[in-house]
Amino acid sequence: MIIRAIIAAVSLFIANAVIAASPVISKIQDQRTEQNTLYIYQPKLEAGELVHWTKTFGPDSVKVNPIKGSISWNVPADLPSESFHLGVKASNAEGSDEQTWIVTVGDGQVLYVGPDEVIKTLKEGMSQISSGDTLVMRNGYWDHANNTNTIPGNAKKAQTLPGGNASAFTTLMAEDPGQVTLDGKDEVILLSLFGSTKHPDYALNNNDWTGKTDYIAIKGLVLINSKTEALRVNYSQYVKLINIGVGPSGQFSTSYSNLYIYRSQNVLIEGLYAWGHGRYKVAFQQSSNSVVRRSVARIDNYLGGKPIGGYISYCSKNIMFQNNILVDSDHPKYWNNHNEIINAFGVPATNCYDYPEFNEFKRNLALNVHMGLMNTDARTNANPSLWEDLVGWDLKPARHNGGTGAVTPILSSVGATVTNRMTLGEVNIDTEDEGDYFLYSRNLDALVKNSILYRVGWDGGETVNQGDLVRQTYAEFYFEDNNLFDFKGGMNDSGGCCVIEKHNVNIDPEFKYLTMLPRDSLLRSAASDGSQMGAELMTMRGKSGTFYGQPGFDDETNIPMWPFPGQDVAHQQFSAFSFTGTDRDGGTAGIRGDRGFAVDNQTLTNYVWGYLGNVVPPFNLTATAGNSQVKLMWDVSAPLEQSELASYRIYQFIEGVKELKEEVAAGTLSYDVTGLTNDLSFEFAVTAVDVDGNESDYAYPVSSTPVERPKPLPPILYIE
Amino acid sequence: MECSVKVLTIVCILLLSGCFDERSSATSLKQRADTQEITLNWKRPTQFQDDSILESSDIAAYILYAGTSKDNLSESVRVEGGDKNSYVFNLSAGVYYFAIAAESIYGDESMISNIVHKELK
Repeated sequence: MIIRAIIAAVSLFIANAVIAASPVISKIQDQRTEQNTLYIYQPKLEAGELVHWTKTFGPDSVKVNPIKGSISWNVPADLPSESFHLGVKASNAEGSDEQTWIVTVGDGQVLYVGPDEVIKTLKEGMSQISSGDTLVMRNGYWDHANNTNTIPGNAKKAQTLPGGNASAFTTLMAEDPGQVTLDGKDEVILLSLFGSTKHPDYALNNNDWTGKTDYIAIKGLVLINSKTEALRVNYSQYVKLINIGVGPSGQFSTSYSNLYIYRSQNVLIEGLYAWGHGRYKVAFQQSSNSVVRRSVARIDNYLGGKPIGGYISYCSKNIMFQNNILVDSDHPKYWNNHNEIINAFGVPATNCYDYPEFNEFKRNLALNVHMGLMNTDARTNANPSLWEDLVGWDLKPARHNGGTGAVTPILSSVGATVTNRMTLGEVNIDTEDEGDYFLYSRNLDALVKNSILYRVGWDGGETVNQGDLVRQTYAEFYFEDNNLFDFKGGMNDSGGCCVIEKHNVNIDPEFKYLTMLPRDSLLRSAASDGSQMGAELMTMRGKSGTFYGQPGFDDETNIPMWPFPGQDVAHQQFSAFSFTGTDRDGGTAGIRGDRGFAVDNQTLTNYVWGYLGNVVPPFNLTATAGNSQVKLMWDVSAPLEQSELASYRIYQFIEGVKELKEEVAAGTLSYDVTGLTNDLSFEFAVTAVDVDGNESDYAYPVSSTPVERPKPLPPILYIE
Repeated sequence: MECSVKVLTIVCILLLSGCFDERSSATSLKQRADTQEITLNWKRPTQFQDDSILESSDIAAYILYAGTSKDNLSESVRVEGGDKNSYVFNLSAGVYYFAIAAESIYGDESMISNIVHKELK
């Protein structure tokens, strides 16, 4: 043991001694591949040693070797032709570097537009490409006025992209995700897909326009200061909006959302980041069969008179929201004139008959948001809105009518609702308002089960009696298998009809992180059927790139949700925002964009995991097999966290129990576990320890099987 | 029931439903009324287990496995050469299951591939 410790110490010394430089990755040119191929690429380093390679962009099936950086992607045989962003990050203790590049699947033409290209404007580029081609905008700031590159709005005569088809998407993309900013200067409407595909249940009201905008993919653009919505999709289907940023929208028209889908079907929104002025961050209206996945949004200011909210499905059906975040929406006085509050996640309706139905929200988070968690108006008990693994933390419900009306409850079940595994923590409502309540059911049934309500009635330092938990009018409210902890109010007001309580418990959840229950928590099996109470936000639900209903679109992927993908580009944009103006009370403090998760040296992941003040674990832990050994590597902690860290602890699981293997100084980001038996699988985890000796939990354990020499992967066999 | 692939297999085919011949003997077997050809094709692996890049020159041979049930791929054929990508069996009526593995020039055999099957009538 002593000898091994000395060897470890020596190798550690050597490892530290040879890290000479921060990594620099050689520029990676755009590439092409085809379906039913294994795409492989080996990036090269110009500087830096002992780097840890991780993926930053690319479909879920793209793999990056943590030590070598080699990228492999089994391109499926049935994947439509389309262009994709792939990206890798190389990091060591000295720093990191990223490269992204474009891989075009299929044989469509790829055309570049920009100041140094033959074709200089987006408008001209759009006229030059054909169905199934790719148009790439070079990185930089695109001023619509100087470059005449606007696509003038949603008028049917707009210059638009040619639609693709089921086997070949037309792609419009940034050279690198997040590095193309298109500025509408509040003068023009930015991107608008104005198609002619009639929605089966709603009229086609487009003045006989015949252009098709189906099978289009838009990727990596940042759209700011649009006169109305930054991005609008009308009468279209099979539209992919991937890694798009939508900033301040409709600032002088006041009734627009940042991203708006109207009478369309099979829209996929993935990796969206939305901030700044706007009524809803994402809104579907009279649309169906669509997905919003892995997105982050922040409500800043809103001057208009329409309802306000976060992720909204209005009079729509079969809309699936997976792994989305609404964060730091904490300046309600700058929501000057809104009428209703639709909450962080909402399913509103106005006279749309059997719509909305089957809207589902899975693994979503609302954090530091000054409105309620959800609002639903599903029309029948048979077709409720479904909420599963939903976390609402540090919420302060808002009032209708520019802050002067009634408080909108946390869960406002105007229509039918099923809520499973919700974690609601540290919620505060205005105690001056008589008859406040947190949960509400009106005309149709509501069910809340397997959920944790923790410090509901929290005034910032303690829980106080802020009124009853539930108010209901004509329908039944089922409250079953929940953990109601540290609540000072009553269950329901006297005017109500019927709150039905069953199997509820009162157990301190001892939260350390918002993303998961403590690993030894009793609540992991506290429901009457032995299932878990409370939400988990640990892995991604739904395979990337899949439309609603396609195979894998709602599957467990086992892909870590953290570090949250695209968090760096979102941070860059959110922090750069600012607004000066007068709030509804006459205040002029304005809004700073560099708040909450967007302050300097912070990351979204570190903000969410560190919200309760506990040490945040390291992320991107990888295990790579060698001969009788496994190399563990992990990412440096967020700068804000780093300054407080003393060390990392490496654990090995032996018969399910974690045993301390080694402790390394906080500047060390890898460890070789040696002396392992080849061909057996070993499991490891890494924690962080701060200068006061507080230790984090681990985020994601990893396993690896050491081998004497790597074997070939098997061939793929076909038969005629 | 052993049936080495290095051995002439006409006898095997007469005796067993799950017995396989080399490509070289296909011509003569083709004339037999009771056997039919099954062509297997494969895509070679392009990586080792550790994701490092694998060229065809890293492969010494492919090992084809076959049998009459997917749980009992009792027969094997060794096809030399990393650049090979197909093989023809001549077989009598029945249901056959096949899989393949790659053997590196260091003598390490990969995990077994996907299993395919075909019924001959």
